[in-house]
Amino acid sequence: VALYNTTFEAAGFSPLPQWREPPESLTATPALAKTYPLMLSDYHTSKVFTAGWQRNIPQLRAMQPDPVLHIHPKTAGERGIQDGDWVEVESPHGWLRVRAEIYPGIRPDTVMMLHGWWQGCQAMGKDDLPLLDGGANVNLMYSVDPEKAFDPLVTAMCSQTLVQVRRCSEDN
Amino acid sequence: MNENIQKDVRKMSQEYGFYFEPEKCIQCHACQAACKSWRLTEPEIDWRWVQTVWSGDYPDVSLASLSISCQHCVQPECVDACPEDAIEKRAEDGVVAVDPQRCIGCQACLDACPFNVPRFGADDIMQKCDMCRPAAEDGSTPPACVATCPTGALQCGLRDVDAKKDQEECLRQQLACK
Repeated sequence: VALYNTTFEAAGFSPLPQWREPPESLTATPALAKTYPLMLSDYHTSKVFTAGWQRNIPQLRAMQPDPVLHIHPKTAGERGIQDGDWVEVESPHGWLRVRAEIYPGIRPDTVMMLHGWWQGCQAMGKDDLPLLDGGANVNLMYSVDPEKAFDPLVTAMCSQTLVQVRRCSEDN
Repeated sequence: MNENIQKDVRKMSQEYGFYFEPEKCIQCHACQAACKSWRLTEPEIDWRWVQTVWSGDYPDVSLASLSISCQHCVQPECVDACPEDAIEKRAEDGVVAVDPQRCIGCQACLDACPFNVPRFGADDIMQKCDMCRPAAEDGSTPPACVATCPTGALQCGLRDVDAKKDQEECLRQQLACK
């Protein structure tokens, strides 16, 4: 394992991993955190789906019919949110409509969801989800500020932002 | 083979049953998927499913897995609840079996079941796990869920009736605290 990367160093980058604030976080942007008090990030590993597909297979979709937001019971309780409620998740860049899953194993100041939700499931009468606001495409929630959101050595944007979560209906 | 499971000749105090070891479960849902694909249940119909039970408060929190299907209870409450005598506790192997010809779809069994097992699909007739018997007539062919479990967390075979009863009680408590 090359912890000290001499190629990076020769190209003028830091040879060792460096920490810096993400574009939006409780400590980087405390003023923004007054409107959006929770951290949002996403995970890519699912029990039943691979990346952003296979939502169309009814046997798999039945195990996870809708996109869910993992939320701590205290955080949910403060917002009148119960397990399975539809919730609106809003960041400075967009908003999603997903179901709350009360999840005691998550930090109370953080919410998480699975990425890659767009595909419908005809056999279960589930339509494709909107790719933009009102769907469950977590990518649109994040900053794409070229100065802050990208690491020069990584193509993906920083998958972290601040959000507010409130109860809503399935259709609004 | 698990020491809690025996495959020898059935004694009077024994009947067939499942045995689940949560510490071996990796929550892959293979048992659930195998049941659905081998038994061709409708998409929303699960004869077996995997459930999680949390305990403690963050950050001292822990998660346990449960793979749940019909427990084929030693004294099944669904049998007594059925007004049509459509559910039978089979004497020869202990399997709780439903007679689809007699079932009228009243769902009284669902109200009675402590584990929320009975399912009602398009035909409104009660359906549930039959332990893949009589396909596994002599117990040598395990049910689809057991055959598929990659860690051996789920087993099936002859079990002492008292151990089965304890397991039912344990599951009741785990589900009550969810």
